[in-house]
Amino acid sequence: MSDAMTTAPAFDTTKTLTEEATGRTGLARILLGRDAIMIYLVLAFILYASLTIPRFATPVTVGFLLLDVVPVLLIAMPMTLVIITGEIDLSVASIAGLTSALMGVLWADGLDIALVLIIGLLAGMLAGAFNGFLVAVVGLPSLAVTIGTLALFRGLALVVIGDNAVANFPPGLTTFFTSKLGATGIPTVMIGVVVVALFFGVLLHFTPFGRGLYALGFSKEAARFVGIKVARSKFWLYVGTGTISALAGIFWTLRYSSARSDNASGLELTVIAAVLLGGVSIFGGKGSIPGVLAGVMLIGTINFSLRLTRVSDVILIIVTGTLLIVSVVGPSIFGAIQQWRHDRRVRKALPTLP
Amino acid sequence: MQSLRPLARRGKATRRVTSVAAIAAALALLAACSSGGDSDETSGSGGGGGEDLTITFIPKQLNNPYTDVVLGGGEEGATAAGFADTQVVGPLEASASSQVSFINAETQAGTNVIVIAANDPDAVGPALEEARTAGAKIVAFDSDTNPKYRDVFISQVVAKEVALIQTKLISEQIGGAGEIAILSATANATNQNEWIKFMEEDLAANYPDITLVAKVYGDDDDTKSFQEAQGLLQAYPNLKGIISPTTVGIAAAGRYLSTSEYKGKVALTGLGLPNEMRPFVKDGTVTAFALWDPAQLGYVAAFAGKALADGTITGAEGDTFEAGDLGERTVGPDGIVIVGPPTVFTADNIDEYDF
Amino acid sequence: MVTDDQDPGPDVVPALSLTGAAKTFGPVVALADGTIELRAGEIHALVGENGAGKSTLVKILAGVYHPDAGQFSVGGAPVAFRSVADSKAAGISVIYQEPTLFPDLTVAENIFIGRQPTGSLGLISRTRMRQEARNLFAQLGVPIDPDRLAEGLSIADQQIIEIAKAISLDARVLVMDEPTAALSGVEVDRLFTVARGLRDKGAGILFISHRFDEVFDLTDRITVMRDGRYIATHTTADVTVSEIVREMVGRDVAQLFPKVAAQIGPVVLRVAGLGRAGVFTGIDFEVRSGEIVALAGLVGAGRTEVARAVFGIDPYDTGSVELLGHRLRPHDPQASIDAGMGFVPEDRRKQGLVMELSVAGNATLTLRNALARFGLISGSRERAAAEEWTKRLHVKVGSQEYAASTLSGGNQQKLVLAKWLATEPTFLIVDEPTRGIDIGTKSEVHRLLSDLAGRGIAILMISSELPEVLGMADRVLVMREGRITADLVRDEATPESVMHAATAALEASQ
Repeated sequence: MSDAMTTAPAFDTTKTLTEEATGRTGLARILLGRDAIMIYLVLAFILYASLTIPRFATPVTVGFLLLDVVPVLLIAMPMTLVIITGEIDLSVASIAGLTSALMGVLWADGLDIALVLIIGLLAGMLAGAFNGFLVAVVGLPSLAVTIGTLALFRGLALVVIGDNAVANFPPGLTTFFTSKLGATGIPTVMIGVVVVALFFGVLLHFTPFGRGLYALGFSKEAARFVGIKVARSKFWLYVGTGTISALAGIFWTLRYSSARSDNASGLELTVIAAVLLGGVSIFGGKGSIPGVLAGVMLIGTINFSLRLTRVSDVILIIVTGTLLIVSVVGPSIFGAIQQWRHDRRVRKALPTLP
Repeated sequence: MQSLRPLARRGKATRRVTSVAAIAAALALLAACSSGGDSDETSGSGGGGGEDLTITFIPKQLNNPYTDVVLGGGEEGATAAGFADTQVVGPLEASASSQVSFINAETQAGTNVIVIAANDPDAVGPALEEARTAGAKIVAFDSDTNPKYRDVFISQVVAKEVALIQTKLISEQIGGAGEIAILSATANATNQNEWIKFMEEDLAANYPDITLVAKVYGDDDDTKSFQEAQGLLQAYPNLKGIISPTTVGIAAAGRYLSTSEYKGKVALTGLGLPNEMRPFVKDGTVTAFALWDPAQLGYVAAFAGKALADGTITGAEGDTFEAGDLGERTVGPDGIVIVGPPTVFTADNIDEYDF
Repeated sequence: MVTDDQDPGPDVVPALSLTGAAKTFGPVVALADGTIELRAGEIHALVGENGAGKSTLVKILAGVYHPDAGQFSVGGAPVAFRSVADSKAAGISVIYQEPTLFPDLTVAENIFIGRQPTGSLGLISRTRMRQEARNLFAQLGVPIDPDRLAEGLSIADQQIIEIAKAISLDARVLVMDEPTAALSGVEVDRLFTVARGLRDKGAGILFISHRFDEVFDLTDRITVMRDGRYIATHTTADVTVSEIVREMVGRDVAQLFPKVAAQIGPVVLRVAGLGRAGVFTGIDFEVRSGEIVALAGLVGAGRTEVARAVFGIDPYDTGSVELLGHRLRPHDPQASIDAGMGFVPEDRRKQGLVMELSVAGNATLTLRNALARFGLISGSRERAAAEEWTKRLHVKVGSQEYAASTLSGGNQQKLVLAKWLATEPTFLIVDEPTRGIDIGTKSEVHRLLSDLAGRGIAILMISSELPEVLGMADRVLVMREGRITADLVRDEATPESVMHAATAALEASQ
């Protein structure tokens, strides 16, 4: 017995013996984290584009680029929270389209523009609540529910406005939506976007509710045991995506000064791609608002640069797809290589036992 | 590692703050880049008529056979008119607002002439305004924008003429009486909707025995159009004819009819490309359909753009310009330039065309 | 290496022999010296604390892991398994704690999956399959209908099916990895009868368990492991529990159940007439301040279900739950937590912890509302709270940022306790608080519970381990078929009285 006790351990067996501890510590964790890497990528790409693309470094770039990404940026915020809980909302673009259609009809009917905007927002809220009811209260899978409402809301938009387009919105309002903040080139609406991003960023990262969402995304069961209201949280998240989608629909309508049923169609995939590229796990539990902001900006900037160099949209789709796959597969490959190198080192260090 | 400990304790919240700061830095860098490169931009965009004029075509969508023909004529015309650089850019989907970012990119590129087929007459408006402010001339072709956003509109033919020739063809083919349906492009398509409006008026006024029973939309998608055609014949057993005022729709409907029991019994006409429609004309599915020569549309648009850029015309009614081989064209009311009357294709003449 | 085992002699070839096996995962050495020698016709116990390397060793035997070093032979011939199939082909079968049968297939189909007996036309012969399955069960002395679906079978029956499958594969070596953890007393007895029968027919059985009564009751020899190393092998008849425990923990465990008498105060929890259709009915009990009340009974008696309803995870149809005189909102865990209730659930991997979340994140999950100021959580307060409570409970962590899944079982359980103690509860439910954790941590948990009671916290403890129930509880409530059948004070509670109350109906019906 004493023999076994005094033998100096050849390995540090006081550590846990079950699995490899994951994650870095300290400064490395901040500077080499996934969010940080995404931000470096965005910065590197902007720098690269400024140096190599002739007309990239002009004041209009900021305005055009940001105006282009505003709807994606807006919807990506609540979408991040939804995906972190392990759910999805595919109906966002259709809600934006429905809002746009409603605005068109109501405005054409002579309602006050303020009332039109309020009704548009309420419609988005209701549409989101409908999704939330089916997913959270009835307990249906969100993928199925929102594929259904993707078609349903777009269909309603067509019913509301048909094949018409309403364009004569108050010029003051439409110019406001494309106006810039002084000489900076930054669109005025970015103020609203920043408010939305801050709201969802704080909600996710600095509130008890946000803490609960991460737990919820990993394990609904464990979340219930600490008193997290699973159904209620999800319900409000869908109301959130609905409301913000309506906001995006309002922006879309007034920026293009055209209310029609096919506005923002297909946008849901761009949003989800950007969110995933920003490091949110489609399985839930992982992700952050800064990462997603960087993801949206990266896709937006690449998109803009390719257009500026008149590269076909086909290439853009390929680039986005490839980026998405790399962002999902990359970390796994990196981890596997590290594991392999480590195993080799350990194996060499191991004494050969008799 | 020792020196890193305090940072390690700062942990999560700090990380977020750091990340947000980095994003802000990214935006700042973007802004800085933009203000730095201010000067070289304005020089290229002046409306003056040098040798290095540039022209860019923005069709409704890329990879559409009809569009390809139009653009082929456009590029030919641009070269003939003397443009130094010709570009074709555009979205993959013909949605309302997808063209805006392309217009923006052209504005930034300082392109002298933008030739556009608008997916939505108003959605592209603000972007075109901005392009004009930066000195570009705007030529709309194929599908018009709101007239206040462009200098001239190059129209195939008068919209009413296109509509009337189709109603005339269908009436001839079904013997002047019976049920017909329309298979259009998207529900929002500007030109199709205008033609349909004229067709409805014409049918009501001049063909009392023909009833229009349905309008369906194939979204200029081959499969969808095929299914819509199929659906029409199931839903309306007494259907005598289909008008499809879009090249995608007529080809898909032709393909469906030629393989179905309705071949030769249900008439099909509309606007089609001779190369695509040739087999259906030869096998008797289609007796006659119409179209203008799309290449001429692009060709005239290029010359109109050149004339605008040179200052030869301003887009006012009565302005005239030389459109290469096609001779002189006159700007009509509302800045509309007519290319020519549509051609009717039948088994007798179809082999003379290749587009 | 220490051993008091007699050399079996050169003429006896062991059924299985593993010497000096090592396995690492990244920086973690899961197994440094895995050594085991299993003879034909013996039941051999493998004991050690959690994290001692038992599971890794089992996975090497099963062909799941490939060892980095060491020698491995079966029936005297050296082997190197590349896959689970290799291990099976060599005659080794592993029965896991929770077998994974195909729920939609019949019992017989599960046994013969992938190698169904065929008839004359090369088609699967159901008759032969059924007959062979019946023979196997007859051999084991356990009647299970070969035609019923595997869905809904008890864990005990599923294990028997796995054993039947092993016999049909002519397995010479059977490895049972904590098979009794989820079984009731009767089921354990049945399993042991089967195991002894197989031993007498010449099979070598490796039995892994945390329960010493079982180890000493069943096995012929015992091998002890600690910290990934082989320590010793003993003949069971020649050693005592305390000797084995000392070798396992490397020190003396003074007292397994350090229950100290606490001052019993006023009633904290009052449950009256609680009922849920088809699950439990007429549940009345009280838990007082400073009191540990054990809820005993067989698996499936409804103990956990009652606890879940009391806490608010599940709804209930009748009755009421009062904490400190206030009636709690049913089906609302947050309300229960706010009122001062905590719940350490039975399944720490699925219910107790969010495994992928960091240690700090888990530790403060229950505190998320309390930590917020003006609705916002400050990171520094959160980390301080996490650090304080993990330290207080001696949770061994590499970093607060590591995922909870990187902790050993015992440390995970301490983390679950930490997150509930952080809420400073007045009433705490602990469901199987020491299941599957090593003996060192186990006594730490016991000491902690006793200490909490001493500080006036009311505790309701669900446990399937009779020694734990008798050792820790001031009062024992016994449940049977959804009802409380006995309320025994500490002096009345004996193994006999508890088991009688838990099984009376079974006896009466026989």
